[in-house]
Amino acid sequence: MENLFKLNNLNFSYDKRKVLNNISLNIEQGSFYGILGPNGSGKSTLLDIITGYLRPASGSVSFKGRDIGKWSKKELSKEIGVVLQNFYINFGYTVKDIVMMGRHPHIKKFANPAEQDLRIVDDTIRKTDIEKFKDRLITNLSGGERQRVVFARALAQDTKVLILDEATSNLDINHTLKFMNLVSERVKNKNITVIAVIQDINLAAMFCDHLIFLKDGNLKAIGKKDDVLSSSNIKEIFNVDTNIEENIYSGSKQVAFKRSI
Amino acid sequence: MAGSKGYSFFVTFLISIAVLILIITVSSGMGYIQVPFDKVSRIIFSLSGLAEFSENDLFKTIVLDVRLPRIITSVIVGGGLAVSGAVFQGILLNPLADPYTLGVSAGAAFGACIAILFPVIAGTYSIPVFAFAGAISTLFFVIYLSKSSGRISSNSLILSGIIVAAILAAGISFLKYTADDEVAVIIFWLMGSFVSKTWMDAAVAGSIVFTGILITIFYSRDLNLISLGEKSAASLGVDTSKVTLILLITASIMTAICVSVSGIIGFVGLLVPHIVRIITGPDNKKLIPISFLFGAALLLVADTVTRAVLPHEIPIGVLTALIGGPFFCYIFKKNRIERGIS
Repeated sequence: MENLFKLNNLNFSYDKRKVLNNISLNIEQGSFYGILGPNGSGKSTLLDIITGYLRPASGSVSFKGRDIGKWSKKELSKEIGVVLQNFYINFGYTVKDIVMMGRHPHIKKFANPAEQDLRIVDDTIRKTDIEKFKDRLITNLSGGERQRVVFARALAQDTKVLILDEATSNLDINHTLKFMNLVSERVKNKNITVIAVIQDINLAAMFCDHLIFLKDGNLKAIGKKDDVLSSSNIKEIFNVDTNIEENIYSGSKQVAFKRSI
Repeated sequence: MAGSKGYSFFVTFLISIAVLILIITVSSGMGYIQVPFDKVSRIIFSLSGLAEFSENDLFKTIVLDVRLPRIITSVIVGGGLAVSGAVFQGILLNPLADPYTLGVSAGAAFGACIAILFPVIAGTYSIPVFAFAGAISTLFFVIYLSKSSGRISSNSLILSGIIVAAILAAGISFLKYTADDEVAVIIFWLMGSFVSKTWMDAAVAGSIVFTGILITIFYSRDLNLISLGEKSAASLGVDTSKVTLILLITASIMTAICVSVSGIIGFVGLLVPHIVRIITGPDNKKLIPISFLFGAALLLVADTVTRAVLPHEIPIGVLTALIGGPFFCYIFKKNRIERGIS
């Protein structure tokens, strides 16, 4: 498998507080990566550096063999799509307008969307189950509905890499599974790469091929899901006791927690 | 972003231009000496060089040398303030921002006060030149204040603008306190006016405002994406820091030239983009041109009211605030109720 991203001795600090400490890892193409770790462990910062939004204090990130800083924003936007959590907007665009903005990297300046752009947008709207409010204003939607629109926008961007920063944390279970399945299908059929920060360990266990564990800015473990998803790793990283068993119904390992009282 | 509404946008655009030309023609005839509509139209048409008007030299002088310079200046200032307002609202992700949010008006006012109190540089242009210099230096100081590690965030821009404006307001109060007879001049300038504007004013303001509009239209789609938030816009291929800075400087220079020509005129920059968004939606590609035409028409009507309808001319800034303020409250409340936002 080809290495899509190569991270080498990454360090990053906000002022004096060190957020990432000497991170080195490789991301292979065509795989679903989950990043797990406690709040404030540097997960989102790591994503920001991978996408080129933040520059590391030291160390290097290369994407397709070229330093991420050497890619222009426009080039990157054709390769990497991002879904953030807590999307909020003050202006009354329609849902369809917002999804169409995902096609921005593919539409020339001053040109109108081509037939293909319109088709992809309609297609995405249908697949992501937002058709019934596609003409409503984004400002009038609930948090979860807005999140689905933003997700749809990134899918319409049609990139080979998809970065998800707790992208499903506002969604109900039905839509969480729907979006995760949609993304997994693209990993399988279109060989795209997904890097997702996920809070729900069992969701990560169901969909990810590889897991990355971060704690206090340090890389604690990285590897195939079945190799690194262990009670001892979870104990070390989250300080909780678990029982991990193969679950036939979900088709993956699942984690059970113990209540303390 | 485009498609089905393209046709209706084109119609809106043409109607707006036609209405603006009509208002320009009608207001050129209004005033102490009434000029009949047909004569005004022919005088204005004679500017194109396709026809001559030589029946009445008095009418010609009144329209071409007295009224039109003032009318065209108010059209440019009204349009310029409206477009800057739309741009500021887009960059600052805040529909309540206006061209003065970053303290540009306070900087201009401070510069004008200095020019009025210390007339070192003689000549009619010392006030606008100082006002422009004040506005631009304020802008760069605000950008400098709000910049951290190469990034400009909208929140820190708004905060820096408010702080700097507050300091400058205190400075203006101090200058007023030390001034004697000049206080009246300062107060009059602060309230804005188009009295005795020349073709020179119109030409200077016009060239800057139109250049600015071309730049903002060039970046209008990027501006749409910036309103999604900086990170989202960046992931969609917008060089956010560069585009934000270019638009910020463009809109501020447009505001600065408007303020230095006419004094401080409030509410046009806030109100017009709001009303126009109801018609065109938030897409800046449509919002910016229509805002220009709408702002131009609005300020021209206001200026004509104070010039030719009211028994005494009152400062235009006072008029726009007195009418625009309550009207804005109405629109704001009505719009929120309709959209079901509480």
